[in-house]
Amino acid sequence: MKQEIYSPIPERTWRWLGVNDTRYSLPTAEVGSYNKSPLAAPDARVRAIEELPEKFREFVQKAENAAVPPAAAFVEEKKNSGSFIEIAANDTVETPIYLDYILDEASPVLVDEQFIYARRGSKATVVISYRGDGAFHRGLTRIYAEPEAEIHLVKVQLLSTQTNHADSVGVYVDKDACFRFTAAEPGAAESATTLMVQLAGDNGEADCESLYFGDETRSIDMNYILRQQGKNTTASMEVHGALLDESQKIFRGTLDFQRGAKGSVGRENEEVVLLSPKVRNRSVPLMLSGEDDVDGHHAVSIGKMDENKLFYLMSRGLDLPEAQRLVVEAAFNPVLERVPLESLRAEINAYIQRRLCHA
Amino acid sequence: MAEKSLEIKDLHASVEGNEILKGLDLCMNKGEIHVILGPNGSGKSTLMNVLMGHPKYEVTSGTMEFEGEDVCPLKTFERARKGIFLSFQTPEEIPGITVENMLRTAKQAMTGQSVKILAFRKKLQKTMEQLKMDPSYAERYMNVGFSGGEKKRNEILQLLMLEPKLALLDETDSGLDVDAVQIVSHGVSAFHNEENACLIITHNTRILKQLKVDRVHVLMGGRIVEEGGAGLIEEINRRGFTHILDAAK
Repeated sequence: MKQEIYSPIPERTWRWLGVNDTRYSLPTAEVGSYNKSPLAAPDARVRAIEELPEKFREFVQKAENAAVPPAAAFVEEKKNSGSFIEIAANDTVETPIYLDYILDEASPVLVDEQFIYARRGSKATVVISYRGDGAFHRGLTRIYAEPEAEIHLVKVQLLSTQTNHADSVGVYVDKDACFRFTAAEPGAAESATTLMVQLAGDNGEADCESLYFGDETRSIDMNYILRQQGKNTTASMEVHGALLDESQKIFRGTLDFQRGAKGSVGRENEEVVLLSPKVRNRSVPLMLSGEDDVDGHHAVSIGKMDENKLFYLMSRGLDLPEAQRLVVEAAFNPVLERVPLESLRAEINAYIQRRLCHA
Repeated sequence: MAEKSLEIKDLHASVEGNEILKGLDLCMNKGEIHVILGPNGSGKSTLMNVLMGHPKYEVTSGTMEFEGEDVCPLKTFERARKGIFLSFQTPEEIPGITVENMLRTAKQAMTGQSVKILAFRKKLQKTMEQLKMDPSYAERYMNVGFSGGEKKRNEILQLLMLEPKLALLDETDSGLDVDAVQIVSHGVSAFHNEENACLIITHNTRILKQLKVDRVHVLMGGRIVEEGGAGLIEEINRRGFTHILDAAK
C-alpha cells in the first residue's frame, strides 16, 4: 500500500527515536461526494473553493509551505468540499465565520480545501469544525494575511473513534499582520495535524494554542512549525495535553528563526499530563536559529499529576477520578476560552468529560 | 455530656522514614476551639496533613477518631466528605479552574447533590462580601495571581461555603496584615457554632482575639507537652516555649 510521509520534522534526528516523520497509508476508501453546506447561513464572503480566481494562485502558493506535498496533492486532487473566504480590506467581521462539517453514513469521507484571504487591515475569526462518524477526513487550509490583517483560525475536531483525521494548515503572514490559531482536536482514532506559519513580514505575530487528548489506543501526531523571517516578529506556541489508557502521541514544535529575523521573540511550551503508565508520549521541542539577535524559549513539562495539587483537590471532597477530571479541565480551559462559539465550547467540554468519565 | 469531635491517641507518624509525631494525644468536643502552639519543626503542620490523609505521611501507630469513627483507613476525599476541612498554609494554584467552579464542584462532591447555580452564586457573593473580597475573584482562576493574603481569605471563603464539621486551620493568619487577620478571624467566628469544632495552628495570637478559645496545646518534639486554658497563650507570649521545654525534661 502506498505510504505518504505526513509530518516531517524540519531537522532530522536519530532514527531510533521514531520522531522524524510519520508515515500513513494513503486512504483507500472511495472519496464520494459531500453535498451538505457547512455554512449555517449564506455569507457573501464565502464561496466554493472551485470559484477561487486564478489571480489568487500566487498567494495560495505562498501559503503552501505547510502542506507536505503528498497530502496537498491528495487534497487538491480528491477534494469534495472547500471554501474560498475573502475578507475585504479594513473589514472587521464581528461574528465568526463558521464552517461545520459533519461526517455520517451518507457522507463518510470528507476531503476539504480551504483558502482564506485576509486583505490589508481586515479582522476576522474563522471557525471550522469536523464532527460525526465516518471513514476519514483529510483537510488543507491555507491562509494569506496581508499587512495589518488579523485573522483567527479555530479548528475543532470531535470525530468518532472510527474516523481518521489528517489536517494541514499553512499560513503566510505579511508585515504587521497577526495570525491566531486555536485547535481543540480531541477526537478521531488517528489524528495527524500540521501547522506551518511563515512570519514573512516585519512585526508579524503568530499566537497558537491547542489541546490534545488521547485515550484507549488513539494515536496523535502533531507537527507545528513557526518560521520567523521578518524583523521583530513574535511567535508563541502553547500546547496542553492529557494522555490516558494506551494512547500515544508525538508533538513536534519548532521555532525557526531565519536569517534576518532580528529582534524576534519566540516562545514554545507544551504541558502534558500522563494519567496511565501505559501511554507513550514523545515531545520534540526544537529551536533553530540562523540569526543572532533573537530571543527564543522552549519548555516541555511531562508528568504525572502533581501530588500536592491532587491532595488539595481531594481535601475538598473530590475523589481521584473527579480530581483528575478537574485538572484536565483546568489545563484545557485556557484553550477552550479562545473558541468563540459558546455552544461549540460546551460541546468540546462535554465530549472530553464523557471520555474522561469513561476512562 | 458534650459529644466528641476529634480524639487522637498515641499517634505516631512518619514522612520518608523520619518519625515526626511521637505519641500525640489530643481530644476535642463539638462546639470547641482548640489552639496548637509550638516552635518551628515541632510537628504542627505534619499533624494537620496526617489528619487530612496526605499520602506522603504514614501513620505507624495510634488512632484518630472523628465523631467516633476511625479515620485512619479513609482516603483524603472520604475524610473531607465526613466533614474535615483543612485550610492550607500554602494553598495550591489551579490555573484553568475558577474559584466559583472549584467551590461548586467541591460542594457537589461533599453533599452528593447537584448545586443550584443561582442560589449558590448568591451565597458565594454574600460570603465574599463578608470577607471583603472583590466579587470578580469568583471568576478568577483558583489562587492564580492572588497575593498571600488573598489566598488565605480564599481558604476561609471555602470554609464558609463548604460548611465542614471540623476546621483545621494551618497558620491561616501567617503573612496577613492587621486588617486581613481581623477579617479572617471574623470569618472563623462566623463559621463556628455548637455543632462544629476548630483546631487552629498559629504563631500570631491576633487571630484569636475574636474567638473564644477553649483549650491550648503546646506541641514540641512530636508530642503535646503542655495543655491549658486560653491563659496559656498569654503565658507563652510572655515567656516563650523554653520554660515549657525545661519543665517537660
